[in-house]
Amino acid sequence: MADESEKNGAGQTAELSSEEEKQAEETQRALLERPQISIRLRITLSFLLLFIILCGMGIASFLFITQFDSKQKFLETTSNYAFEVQQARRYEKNFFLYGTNLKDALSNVQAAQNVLRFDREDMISVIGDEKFTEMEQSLNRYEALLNRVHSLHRSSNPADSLKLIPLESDLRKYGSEILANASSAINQERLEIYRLISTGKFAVVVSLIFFLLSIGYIISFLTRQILRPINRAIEYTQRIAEGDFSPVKPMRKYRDEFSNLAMALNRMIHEIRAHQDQLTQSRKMAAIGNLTAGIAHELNNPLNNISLTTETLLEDFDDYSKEEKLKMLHDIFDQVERAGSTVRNLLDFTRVEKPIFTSVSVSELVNTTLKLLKNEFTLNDIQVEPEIDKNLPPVNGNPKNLQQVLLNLLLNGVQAMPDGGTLKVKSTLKKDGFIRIDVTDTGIGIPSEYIDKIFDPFFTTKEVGKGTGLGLAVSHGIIENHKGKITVLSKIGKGTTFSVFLPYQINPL
Amino acid sequence: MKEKYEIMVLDDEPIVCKRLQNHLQKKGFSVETFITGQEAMDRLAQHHFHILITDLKMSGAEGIEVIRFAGKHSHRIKTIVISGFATNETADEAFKAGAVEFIAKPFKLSQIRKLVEQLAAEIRLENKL
Repeated sequence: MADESEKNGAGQTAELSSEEEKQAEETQRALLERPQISIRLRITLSFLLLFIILCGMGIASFLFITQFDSKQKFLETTSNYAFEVQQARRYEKNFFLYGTNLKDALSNVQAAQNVLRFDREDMISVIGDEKFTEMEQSLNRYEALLNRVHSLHRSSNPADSLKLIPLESDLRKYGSEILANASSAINQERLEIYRLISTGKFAVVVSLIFFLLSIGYIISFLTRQILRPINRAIEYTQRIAEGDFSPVKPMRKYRDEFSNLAMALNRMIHEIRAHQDQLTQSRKMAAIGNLTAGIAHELNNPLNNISLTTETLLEDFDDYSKEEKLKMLHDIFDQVERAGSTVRNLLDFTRVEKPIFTSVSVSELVNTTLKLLKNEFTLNDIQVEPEIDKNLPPVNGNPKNLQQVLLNLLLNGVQAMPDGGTLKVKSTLKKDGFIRIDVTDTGIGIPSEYIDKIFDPFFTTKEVGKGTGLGLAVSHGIIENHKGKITVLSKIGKGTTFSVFLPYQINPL
Repeated sequence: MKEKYEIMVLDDEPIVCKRLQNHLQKKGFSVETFITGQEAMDRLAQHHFHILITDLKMSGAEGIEVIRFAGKHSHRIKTIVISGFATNETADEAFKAGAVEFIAKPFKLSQIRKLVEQLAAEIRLENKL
């Protein structure tokens, strides 16, 4: 039976470690499988976006200025055109009023025509083909009329003078129409320029705001992308330092430089673990070495005593008195008992079968154990001060084992006080799910150089025959089996406190 | 007249002390026994012994310390180590400290007696030279 359970146990641990290994591998794969978008790429993309926005703003400003420029040119051209026409009309008026020369008016009209011809393309682009043709046509008509007036005026035929009168009103009508068209075009263009300027202002403000927003977003994005993984990495290192060796898992959708960091961390965790396992292994080997030394020493000494005493009796049986012989036989008997108890303790220490766990009341456990030792306390002049809370929740454990631990601790306390003293047993409910049992003596204390060794098997400071050095090692093993822990605090000359922490049942059955 | 050799026995097992003392005294040796290293060293400082029989692993002072101490105070002392934990390492350590013999426990009284007699003969020879 014992063999079988041992095997099962070994199998389980093997499975567990291979499962952990598998889990670590899977995490590594999951880290790798994500699509890769490196931090460098992200930074580059962000700046590219900013660059595009800036370029857009530049191009827009350039286009705006170009448009503004062409409108400005149109205004200039139209003003020139309007000026020439106005001049022509002035000469035309003078001709009718004072009979002055009409040639000047004609040359002004020609100049206006030149303006139109010269800036034809520009103007068409602003006011359109139709309107431009209209302008050109009315100017041509006006010129034609002027030419007719001019030729009629030159002729000496008096009938021709009469013909001038209806032409005059036609001329006036066309002239003012041309001017009105020109000035309406100017006004329209001015309005357009004003609109362009206000649109431009608005565009500048909007693009500035957009630019600032994108910068803000990019900064926060990069910070998130860089600072958060760094903080997480710091958390991981703290976690690892605390002994949690579970692998780092992927937290984001994409793979980047931090994924490499995570994988490096995982590799490191793996290495540390391997080294720790190795260390544990070599410590185990050292412990086995110690154990062997302890067993050899603890068994060879009583065997030696038995052998020497038996040899004495065999060789010189008649030389000794009856009392002496009886004493020697008692010695042999005691030494056999001593060797036997070492073997028994050793069996306790290495026992592999699982003890049966039940619900154990701490106060009952302490009280029955104290009762068992009542005699021991009186004999050694020891006052016992129990401080046990009766309302503690029960712990899940093996009562016999737990009693063995308490017995060991109490007897250690008694042996630490050869001249008597006080033994305190105190129980407290801790918030982290544990019940704490303190056993405090006012004895000689444990030297600090021994503190690390007291839970090692066969380590003892007691005289020969008084302790095998297994009591605390066995207790330690038992408490570990109960998923608890045992600690010690000692001051030379003041005393020692052993504290046992046992997890309690939250929902006792 | 046969010279009386003085032997110190140091072992924290009282039975060993008693049995060795009885046995060796019967064979004509003078034997003093100690169960702590400190007491043994105090005595070694005052008195010259010919032979020291000591255990290695004891509470308090280690046997090795006593062997070195004995060698310092009387360099002609012959030391026999008796140990319940006999390994090459502990034996080497004992020999380096100055022991001349190493016997593993459990041993026989006759075994020790033969060794002691052999050492006594050596001492006799050394004294004659």
